[in-house]
Formats: sequence, C-alpha cells, structure tokens
Amino acid sequence: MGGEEYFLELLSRDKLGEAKEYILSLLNNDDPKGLLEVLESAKKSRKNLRKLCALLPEIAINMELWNSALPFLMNFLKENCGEGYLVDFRIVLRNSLAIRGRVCDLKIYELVSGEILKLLELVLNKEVREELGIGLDDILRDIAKSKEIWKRLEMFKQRIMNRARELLEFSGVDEKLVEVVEGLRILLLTTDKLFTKEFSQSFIESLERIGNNFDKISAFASFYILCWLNDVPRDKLESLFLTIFRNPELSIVAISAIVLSLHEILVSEKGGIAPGNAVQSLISLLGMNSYEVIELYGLLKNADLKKAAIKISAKATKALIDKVDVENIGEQLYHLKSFSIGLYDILDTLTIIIQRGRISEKIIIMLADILEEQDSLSGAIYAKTLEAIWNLAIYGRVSDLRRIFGKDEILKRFLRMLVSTKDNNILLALSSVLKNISHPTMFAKIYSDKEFTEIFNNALENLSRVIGSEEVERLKRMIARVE
Amino acid sequence: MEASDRVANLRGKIWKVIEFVNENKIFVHSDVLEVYLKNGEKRQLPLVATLCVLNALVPKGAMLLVGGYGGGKTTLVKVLGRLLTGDSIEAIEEAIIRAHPEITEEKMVGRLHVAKLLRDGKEEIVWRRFVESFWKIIDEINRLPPNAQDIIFSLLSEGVVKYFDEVYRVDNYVLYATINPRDVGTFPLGLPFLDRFGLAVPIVSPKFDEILNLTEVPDTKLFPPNDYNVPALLSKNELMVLWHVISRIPVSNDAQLFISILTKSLSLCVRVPKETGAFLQIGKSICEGCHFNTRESVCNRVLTFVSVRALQDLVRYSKALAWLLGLDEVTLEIVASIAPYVLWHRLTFESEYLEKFHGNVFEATREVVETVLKNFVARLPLYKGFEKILLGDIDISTINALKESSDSDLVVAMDLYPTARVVVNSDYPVMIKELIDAIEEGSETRIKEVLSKARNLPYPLMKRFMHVYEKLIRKNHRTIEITYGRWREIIEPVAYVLSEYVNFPKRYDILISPGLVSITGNGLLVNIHITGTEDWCPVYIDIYGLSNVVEIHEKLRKALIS
Repeated sequence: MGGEEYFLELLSRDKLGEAKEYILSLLNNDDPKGLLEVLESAKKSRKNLRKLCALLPEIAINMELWNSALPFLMNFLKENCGEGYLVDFRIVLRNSLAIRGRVCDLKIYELVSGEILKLLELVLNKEVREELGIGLDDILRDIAKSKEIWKRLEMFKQRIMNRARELLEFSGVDEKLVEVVEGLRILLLTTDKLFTKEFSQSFIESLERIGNNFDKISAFASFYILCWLNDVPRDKLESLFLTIFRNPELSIVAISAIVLSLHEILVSEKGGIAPGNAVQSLISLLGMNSYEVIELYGLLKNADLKKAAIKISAKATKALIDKVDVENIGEQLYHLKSFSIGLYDILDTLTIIIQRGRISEKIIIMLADILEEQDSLSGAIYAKTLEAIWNLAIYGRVSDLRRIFGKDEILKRFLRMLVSTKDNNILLALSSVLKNISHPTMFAKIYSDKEFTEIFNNALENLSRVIGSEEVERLKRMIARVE
Repeated sequence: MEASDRVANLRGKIWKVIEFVNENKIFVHSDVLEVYLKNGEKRQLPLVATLCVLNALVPKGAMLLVGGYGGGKTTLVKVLGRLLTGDSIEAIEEAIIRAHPEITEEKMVGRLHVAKLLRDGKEEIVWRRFVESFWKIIDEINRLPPNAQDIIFSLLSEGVVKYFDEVYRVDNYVLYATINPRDVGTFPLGLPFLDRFGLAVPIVSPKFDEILNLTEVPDTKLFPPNDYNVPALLSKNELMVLWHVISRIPVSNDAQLFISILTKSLSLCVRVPKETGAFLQIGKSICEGCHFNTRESVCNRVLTFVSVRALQDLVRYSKALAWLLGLDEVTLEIVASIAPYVLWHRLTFESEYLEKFHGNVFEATREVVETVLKNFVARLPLYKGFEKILLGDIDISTINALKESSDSDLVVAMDLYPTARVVVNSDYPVMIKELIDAIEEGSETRIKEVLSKARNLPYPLMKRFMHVYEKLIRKNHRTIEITYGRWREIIEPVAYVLSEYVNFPKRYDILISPGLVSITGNGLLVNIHITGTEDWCPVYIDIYGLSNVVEIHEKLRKALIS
C-alpha cells in the first residue's frame, strides 16, 4: 500500500492519532513533496478533507518555523480548509513556539524566509543551538553558502578584522562570531526587510523573548543587528540594556557589537548603510551631548574601538544608574576599569554614582586602585578622582560607608592610602571620608590589632600635613577615650 | 623668512592679542568657547575675546555684542582695534557711532563741504570718520532709528555708503556693534538686518570671583587704555593678508555635510516654505497633525529659515577658528562649536519651546544645534550614501534606507530621497560612470563628449553633474606657494609656462593686486591667489585638472628655481 492510500485509510477509519504520526514522520524526514502528495490525496473526499483540516493545527505543536513544509501546510490550510483553520494553526504554532522557548516567531517568519529565520534563531537562542548540536562553524557555513555572501564576508574580514582585533580580545568575542552576525545582516539585507519598521518591531520582540537567557553569541548578534534597524524605540533599547547589564561580561560583549556596527555604519567607506534611527535612540539613551557624540565618532574614525567601547559602557552605566542594582553597577565599572583605558569616562560615571549615594564595596576598591597610581594621574583624571573622593565624603551615606569600611581589608587599604598619599588635595578629601567613618567601634578595632594601630598612627602623621597637628591631637584624644 | 613662517608668526601674534586682553583685564569674563580637537583634546578659549578676534579674521566681519551696559563691550572692541590694526585708540574712538533715536544721516555718513558749496557751488562730501575707518564700532545699534539702520544695512550688504550723489565704497572693514536690549529709545532690528551680522555673542555679568577680581583692576577713569599701554601687535595689511590665508582652509567632508544638514534641518518644513514667513504669522499651528512634529524634530522649534549668507558665515568663522587653532582643515568639531554664535541672533523660536529656556534664545539655539548634530551623526551613513549616489554608485540598500527613513527625517524626505529617485531613474548614473572612467583614463576628448552628452540631462541633474565634475577635477591638484616679492620677479616666466595650457590674462594689473585670478582652458583651472602686496605676503598658484597638472607643476617649479 502506497503512502497516500495508507494515509487515506487512516483518515477513513478515524485513526487520527496515527494519521498525525504519519504526517509528523514526513515532516521529520523533511519530505515536503511526500507531504504535499498526501495532503492532495485527502482533497478527493470532503469527509477526509474535513478531518485533515481539523488535524493539521495539531501538527503545529511540533513544528519549527524553518521546516520546509510549513509554507505548503499554511497554503493548503488557506486554500482548502479556510481562514479559520489557518488561524487555529497559527495560534497553536505560536503558542507551541513560545512554550518551547523559541525566540523568533511567526511575524519574523512572514518577513524573512524560513532559512534565514533558522539562522537567526540559532544565533539568538543558545538552547536551540545546544538542542541541534550546532556551533558557530556550522552556522557560518550555512550563511556563506552563496558565493556572493562569501565574497562580501571576505571583504568585510579584510576591512575590519585588523581594526577590530583589540576590541574583540577585550570583549572575548570570537572573530567567527563577527563573521556570522555580519553574514546574517547581509542575508537580512537581501530580503529588503531589514530597514522596515515591521522587522524592527518583530526583532525587538524576539530579543525581549530571550529574557535572561542571553549568552555571548546572542548578546553580540542582538546588539549588532539592532544598530542597523529603522525603528528602535528608546524605552525598548533601555530595557534590553538593563537585561544585558545584569551580567558585566555580557554587557561588554553587547557594547563591542554596538561599537563594531557603529564603525561599519558611520565610518567604514565600504560598510553598509543604515537608516540611523537606532543610532539616534542609542545616543539619546546614553545621554550623550553633541561633543561626546563627536568624540565617539572620532574614536570610531581613528579605529580606537576599544576606547569607544569603554566610553559607551561608562555612558550606559551612567544612564542606567538608577535602574540597575548598586552591586551590579560597581561590578560593571570595576570590570571596565580592569582594561585600564578610558579612565576619565569611567571616573565620570563613578563620580555621579557616588553623588547619588549608590556606594558599593567594588566602588571603594576601584577608587583605591586608582589612588594607588595617583602619581601618574593626568590633569582631567586627577580632577575627577578628587571630585569622586569629595563626593564620597559629602554624599556617601554614613551607614553605607561604615558598613563597607567595617571590613578589615577595606579599612586597612583606606588607612594605607592615608599613609601613602602625597597630594595634599587628595589627602584633605580622604580626611573628610575618615571623619565620616570615625566611630568608636572602628577605633576599637584599630587599636585591638597591632598592624592596624601602626598604620593608623602613620596615617595620622601624614594627615597632620593637611588638617594640622591640633586636629590630629584631637583625634588622638578621641581615640584614647575609646581605648 | 618663508611666507608660511610669517603667517605662523601672525598666528602667534593673534594669540598674544587674546592673552593681552585677558592679562590686562580689558574684559573680565570667564565664559569659554569649548572646542574639541580631533584627538579628543578639549581647548577652552576665552569666549568673548576669541569671538571678537575671529570677527577680525574674516573679511568684512560684522559682529554683535549683546549684553547689559557697563560690561566693557565697547572698551574691548576699541582695544582690539588698536591691537589688531595699529590704529590709535583716539582714531578708533573718533570713528565710533554712538547711536541714539535722533541720530541723523549727517552725523553718521557725512556732510556737505559747506565752504566749497558756498564758494564754488559744488556739492563735495566730507565723509564721516566712521565711513572711512577700517575698524568700525557702533555703540548700541538697537538705538538707531530705521532710516539709520538702512545706512548700515547698505554698508553691510553692498559695501557702499551713499550721500547726495556720491557713493563711498567701503572695501575692507571690520565692524562691531553692541546691543543693550534693555535700553530706552530702542528700535526693533529686522531679521534681514540681523542676518548681515555674521556672529553674535551674548554677554552676561561677570561671575562672583571675577567681580572680586575687578575690584583690583586699575581705575580706567584714571588710566584709560591708550597707545602707550596698548601695543599695536598687527597692522591692517597683516590682518587682510590673513583674510586671504584663512579663506584657503579646506572644509572637511563631515563638516560640509553637517553645515548642509544644519541649514536644511532648521529651514525645511514639509507643509509650507519657511521663507514665505508663514510660520512667523501663524506659528506652530502649522505643525498640528504633521508626522514630523516630534520631540526629536527641530523644524517645529524654529519659525525662521537659515539664509545662505548664514551658512557662508558659518564656513568663514569656522575657517578662522580652525586657522587660529593651527588645524589643516575645518572639522565637524569646529563647526559645532561656532554654529550657535553664528545662528542665534538670526533665529526666531516657537514660543513654547523658548519658554523651556526662559526666553534665552542663545541656549535654545545651542540645544537645536546639539539636536541636529546628534541626529546628523546617527544619519551620517545616509548622507554619505546619498553622496555616493551622486557619484553614480547606486546601491539598492541605500535607496531602501533612504526610503525607510524618509518617514522620520525631514531632510531625507524632502531633499535626499526625491533626488535619489530622480537620479536613479535617469541616465545620470551611467554618465557619471563614463565621466569617472574618462577622467581616470585622462582622455580629454572623452571627457568633452560626456560633458556635451550631460547637457541633455534635465536641468537640476545637469547642474549636479557639473558640480560632481568640478569636484572630481579639483581632487587632482598641485599648489605652489611663493612670496609676493618672488612672484613679482617671476610673473613673466609663469605667464610663459601657463600660456601653453590656458588663456593667460594679458592684464598685468590684476596679477599684482590682492585677489584671486582664475584662468581656465583645456580642462584645466589655474588659480593665482595673491594675499597682499608686501614682499613677504604669500602668493599661491593652484593648478587643478587632469593629466597636465603634474607637468605644469614641474615646469613652474623649474621656472621658480631659475
């Protein structure tokens, strides 16, 4: 008995479960032709057709959007079963995709082909990648199947990789990932949908569906493609930033993607073209003034991509200051500082954070790190460092400061700073912080440990340079009372 | 000393002028003009002194100093006149017009020579010092009645002053006018009149510590600035040479694009041309329901348009600032820094928007420029893509991007996208490609053929085509720089060399006067730029064209050596 006859037999005998299994087996074998023949055969009997129409929406539960039979099925439903069945099919498909944690949905499917959608899903969804056992190499192979795309990617590599190497090392992004996302962008461009508002909306909805499941690949791909879109509302962009900023490492990856795409969009002679709305939203979200925008543009032009990334990161941290957990902000900045460039921008953000009274242990450690190199601080950075310490003294909540400085390591480090600081301005600012944290329990701790006591006495000696010996004596008397 | 060394020396002198003003507390004011250089370095220049000096560095510069009385505006420009021209303070003072509502033409322009009139019956005019003076100051210009404003208008726009049947041509001058907006007996200044002023600076009272500082300044009533305590650091001739030198500073592509976008963004309206004045009459109600009426737009904030003169002023003052900072070209940063000062007195804002700034027009302008700049950087690829289209490089994704963003960008919607569509649907791209090929080949016959074919293009496209051609030709150029003294010696050999290629002018007089002599022929353009007539003054010979440029340059170089 042939496939069609077998299927009709199942339908006639109302063995719908088996009929469904049969269709699924055809789908799994990726046999759209076989499926079409089977479906066509059912058309001969109205009774069978009705049963089939009721059956097909159930099939959607197991379908993927890149299944080659999907267009046939939808078309069959529309032409033979009616809109109602098609709507059912779509609802089932949409819900099942959501339940299975798929990122791309029918809206994107209707804009780009199933083939491109699959690639998009693969880069955005780490679970699908794992489920199908597909790596970047496989994705790249699929993307560069066409000679044209391969050629464009080769040109892109020649153009950008040397310039981007430092940035990629900085963010720990594989060069292959850059190729993949650029390839994907070119593919999307070929659909003529990349710049449409519909695609922007659907793509952003997809990113929202990723939620907390961003990984390096999806973070890079999302933010790279995002910059090329035509309609990226500021609030949507902000919520995506907030999601990604929960993980400092991922945020650097995302920002690297932004920098790389901005370089391609704004600077690269042979780079692509973009409508600029996303860039506009980005500038607005980062709260950059015109000079900062020009400066960023200059950095991109001079291929100083790492510095551009630090600048954007620092600005983003500043922009999200009130919406991100304080520990997270500290981590973020500390992470940025570890790259030892763009210190001014980092300090600028740090100063604002302290001014808002959002102080964490990492922030204090960071300041201490900077102060350790105070002899080499240049004019603007020196001024910002000083401002940060004064902000700490003026705006830092005493309870926060005492809690943080209550930790032995931090307190010891702070006292050592008081000993080693040669600059009078910084020492004066530090003395104000000391006054804020001065508390009998702290003094008790200092005088219960020999090492602490020694450092503190040296610190007082150094402090006398700026607050005068009389004040130091007063402090000593106060401590003596605690003793 | 080489001409270029001498010019660099003049730059040093200009800086000394600015330093002198600050060090001697001629004008105590700590507001700064922030300029970002390409390497991210930030320069902070004393705002008022720098802008006043920039005004002297552009030909026929006219500037407004807007602020309350008693701030030292007039003293500052008087002292600058002495420092920059070498004229005596007394002569500068004598030439000042102190405006008042009843000032007459005779007090401003000139009078009849009464003795001659009575004796000989001849109407000879004795021109006022203000008319004849190079350094012109009008104190409280807003107190000039309309008829007197017309005289200044004529001077600023045509460079002429008329009285009876005589006309006085004011070829070279630098003009400063002060405005005290709260004074009694003031008259409104019309927009076309204000547009004649290239630059305007708002002046506010000194800051707290500056006032403390002022208490220590020597009493100017007792020790007024005079020719002994204010040195003459430059001469009028040197200043005029600088006008020429500064005019040669190229404008970077980014800066050019920004200037165009700034002008268009402020001037365009999708519903009614702002040039008709409809906005001034009806106001923002024109914007109701318009989809460009968004928070990010600037078209809805400005009721007036930006004139071509304003954009030319923006270029001129930007060049002056770039030169002062020793830059090779006018950068985007330079234009952005100077733009608010070139524009704010020319713009009229929508009242609600202005309320946001408590009526502070300057701050409103600064914000508008900032918004345009941010949008500009975001949209830069589109603008560059459009430039590529004009060069015949048609990419469908560029057209797509232009189309999709025409919903949200007024300049794209009204200018770029429609033009791109016309270009794409015509023979233009093919012809431009042919032209580029012919230029690369260096074939003059082919170039001529393409140019003659291009004349059949519809007029706007033909104009664009010719513009691209000029740009391409100008890309290939060589320059020779010599001193005026040397130029006088070698005019004949230069004429001999150039006559082989272009129609060299027979008029010797124009070849020894300051100015630009443009000579064309055989696909070549030769500009002889004479900056002044003192021996040290630079003379530049610029050769633009195709294959012959290198050859001519070599021949001229040899002629120079011999």
